[in-house]
Amino acid sequence: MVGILLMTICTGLHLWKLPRRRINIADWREAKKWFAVIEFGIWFFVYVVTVPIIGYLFATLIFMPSLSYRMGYRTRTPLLWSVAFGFGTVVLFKSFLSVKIPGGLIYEYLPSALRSFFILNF
Amino acid sequence: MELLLSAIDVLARWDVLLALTVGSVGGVLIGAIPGVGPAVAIAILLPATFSMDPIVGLTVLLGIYGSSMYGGAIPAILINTPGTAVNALTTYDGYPMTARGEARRALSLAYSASFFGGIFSIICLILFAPVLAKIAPLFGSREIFLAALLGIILVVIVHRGQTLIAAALVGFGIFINTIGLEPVKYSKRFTFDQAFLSSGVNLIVVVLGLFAISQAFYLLQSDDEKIRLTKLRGGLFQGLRELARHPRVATVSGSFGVLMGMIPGVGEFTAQFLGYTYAQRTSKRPEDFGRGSSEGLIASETANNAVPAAAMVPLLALGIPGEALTAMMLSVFYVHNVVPGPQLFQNQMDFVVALYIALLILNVMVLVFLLFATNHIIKLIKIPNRFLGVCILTLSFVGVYSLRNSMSDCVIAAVFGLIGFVLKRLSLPVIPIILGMVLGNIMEVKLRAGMARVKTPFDFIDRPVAMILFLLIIMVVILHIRRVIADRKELKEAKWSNKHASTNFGMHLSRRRDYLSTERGKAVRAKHLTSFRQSTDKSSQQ
Repeated sequence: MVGILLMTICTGLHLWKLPRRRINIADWREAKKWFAVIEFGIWFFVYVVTVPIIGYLFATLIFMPSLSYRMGYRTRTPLLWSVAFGFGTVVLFKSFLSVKIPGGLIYEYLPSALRSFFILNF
Repeated sequence: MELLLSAIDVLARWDVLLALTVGSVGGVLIGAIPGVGPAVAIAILLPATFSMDPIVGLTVLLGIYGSSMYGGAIPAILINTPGTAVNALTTYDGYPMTARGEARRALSLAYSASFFGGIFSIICLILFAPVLAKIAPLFGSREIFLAALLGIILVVIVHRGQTLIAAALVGFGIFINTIGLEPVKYSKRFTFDQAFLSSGVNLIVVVLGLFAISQAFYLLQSDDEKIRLTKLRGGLFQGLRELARHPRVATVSGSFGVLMGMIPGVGEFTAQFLGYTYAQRTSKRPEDFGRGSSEGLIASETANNAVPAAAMVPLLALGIPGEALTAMMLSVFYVHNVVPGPQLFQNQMDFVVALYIALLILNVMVLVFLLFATNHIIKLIKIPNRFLGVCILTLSFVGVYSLRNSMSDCVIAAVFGLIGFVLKRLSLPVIPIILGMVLGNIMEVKLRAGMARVKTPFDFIDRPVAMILFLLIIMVVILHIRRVIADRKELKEAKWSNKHASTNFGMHLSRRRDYLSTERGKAVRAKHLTSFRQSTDKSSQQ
């Protein structure tokens, strides 16, 4: 209750103290920037959804170069760097530091020896 | 002596030393890349340290915390972009030095000043530790509640010119913290019968959203800049000699860093500001400040590097974080089953001293690393912004998802990323949200515990420490109100002032226009009055 009251009253006072003016074209441009960022939120969400299905390694190896390509890095060097960074991240966090990220459903189709190796390390 | 030996015993392990090396080198590299701060790195790496031994995990994160500011000075000096937010003041004098071809001198001076600040603050605190161990037990629930309240008030008023919105953001933080099951009776608060809200909103998820994901969004929608770097030639040892010529500036700035670091909610910016102002006022050449003054550089770098060790005092002794990074460190401690507070100082003093010694070793390692590897580190500044954004987004996933493997955590983090991005675009601070969450929780728990023994309102402040804290709160609030009134007065005076040529002419025109329109209005009304006197004058009609 304290939080809500503090939040509402202070926001109200802050808005009341702001200089009043009409909405102009610069404001619309700013709002457009805010909404444009939702696209990257969707990219992130798709990445999150695909990890438990195709596995952390493959999802990262697809996500990194795709988003780099989308951001305008279309030559070979940055794309290779992005793949290398993705691979390095997976190896560092999943293989060495053993963070808790579940293995992908796709690993179930691998032969048993490879399956446990992939589930544990990638 | 015995304490020191047992502290060294805690540290003398190969994995701790490896963690220290990784943390210090990693911290420098992270600090040197503009756009990736220590907050982002700690938030991402925190879940990775869950499986480690408490002292190992803490040393890695402490290493990043303590060494990132060293790295942050590199882009601040070379390309006028601070690597971490606290290096902003370094650009004032560092970049002009680079512009006149003294990049090597500036970097060397910054490293030496940072080293001095770090070591000075740690030595102060090691000497101060026995006193702290005596004071800390005097803090009960009521005192910790009041200290947290003081922290919240200071966080709000430190944001000068944005006080109201900072208070609103603190309120938002407190509100987020109340979502989920209430800690004593486990009744549901603001869950709206949604399962994913019952477990509450995790602090790490919010931190990752507000710092890492929002930063990734910010970088992804920005443009890549072309950066030209000057090549550094020669050694970097001359700074230590130059620092020795300004012992007074370095010591006073370091003391400001220690003092401000210990006060919750104040932090690096105030310490730097005070140190810099002091150096400028007492300098023989104050006109050089902002144009490449070595004293200015020493003051800002010494003050900001003296803060991390000092900021550990309220965190370790009372369990109260003073800024966003220490708020994160608090959750790091909790995760590793180390509960900061008076008990820690009484029962595990060797652990506390071990942390300080770790910081001491860390500073030496970082200085040696920087003196020999700066030429290679500066290449990191060239990483393009948007590519960095892609990398941070990928790394943020590890941080959020590995916490609880929860999809809803990822969505919450993305939403907070969006909120953080909007706040960044509006130049509003995000730190009050984090501190609102952490300090709000501490205040709630401690108030409940403290109220059990309070019968009359005065009971709350009848103990000496509580009374001192209460008086401090009253004093801070009164000082703030005085400052607001003075600011308003100044603003009003500036509005009506005719001191400046620019405002003078515009103001004259506007007053002249107002005067003429008023006079014209009067003339028109008078004319109407004389023309239609008959119809308006009721008394004459009668």
